[in-house]
Amino acid sequence: MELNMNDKNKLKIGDRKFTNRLFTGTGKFSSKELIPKMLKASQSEMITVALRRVDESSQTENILQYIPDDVQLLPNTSGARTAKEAVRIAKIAREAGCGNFVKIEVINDQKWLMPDNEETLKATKRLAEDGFTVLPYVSPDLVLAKKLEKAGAAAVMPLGSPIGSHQGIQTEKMIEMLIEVCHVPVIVDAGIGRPSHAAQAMEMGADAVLVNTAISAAANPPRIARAFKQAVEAGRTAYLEKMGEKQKYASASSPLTGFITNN
Amino acid sequence: MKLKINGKDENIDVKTVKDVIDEKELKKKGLIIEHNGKIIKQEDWSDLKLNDGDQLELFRFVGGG
Repeated sequence: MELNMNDKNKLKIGDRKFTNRLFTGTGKFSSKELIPKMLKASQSEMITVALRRVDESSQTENILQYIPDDVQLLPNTSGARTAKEAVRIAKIAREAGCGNFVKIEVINDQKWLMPDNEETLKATKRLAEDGFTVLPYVSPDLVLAKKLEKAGAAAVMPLGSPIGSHQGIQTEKMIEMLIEVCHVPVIVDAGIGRPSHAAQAMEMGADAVLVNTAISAAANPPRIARAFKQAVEAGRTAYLEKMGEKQKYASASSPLTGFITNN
Repeated sequence: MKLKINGKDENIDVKTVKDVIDEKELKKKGLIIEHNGKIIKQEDWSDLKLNDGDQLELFRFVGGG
């Protein structure tokens, strides 16, 4: 049977439809030249970028030149400690020609990089009112997710585990609640360290995953990006096909009649 | 001229935004400039005259997740 790849299976966020459900990031690549190669291998259609003050001591390169025009840019508000700072970063990114999409990231905790959900909600409301397509990065909390929806979020991005930790989906039960209840797409972001983690999130019914460090810090990012693409596709198909439930006891896969015995 | 650039007070001999970029030998491509809280388009950098006490913020997009 052919895979159902019709429009119904596309993911709509804001005014854009995505075929590929693996979103990627531009952080921590050993060489920027790897970014277009990674994008080609993963066929990722949306990628995050960050905004920083110019460091006069080093001529940092313009990251945007490595991203093909057909890939949706998702500027993040990393570095923001308050809603106000996140709003400012989002507006600068939009004015600089980065489009309407923004990933809200407000972080004050430096050990686990846990998002400040309260400030993130405030920033989401302000930016959604201002016409942004807002994707807030949050701890997976059902009540908060409902508030984010009401505030105009275009998706919610619950963390699987701390950023860059490679711990996988430690928040499984909490994310399951979001998947069951949210009307906007649920994109699992952070902590996805291996393709199996991405497949797990997709099997659970997540609408997409965002993977950065696990790809960019790999020895061969394009190759691992392709493995993530395959894992996301496998997980998505398994979800759509509604795999069998877990059972306590065994259920023989071979016939239980006509045994060959010595009698 | 006294300017505040990326939060730091500086005293440099410039007249326009473009002069600041040249003085600091910054690559223009991908550079984003905010003058007193307002983003200035690249084509306006040469025309924008600076005044004492003006604030400039210079940004770039970098890798991030």
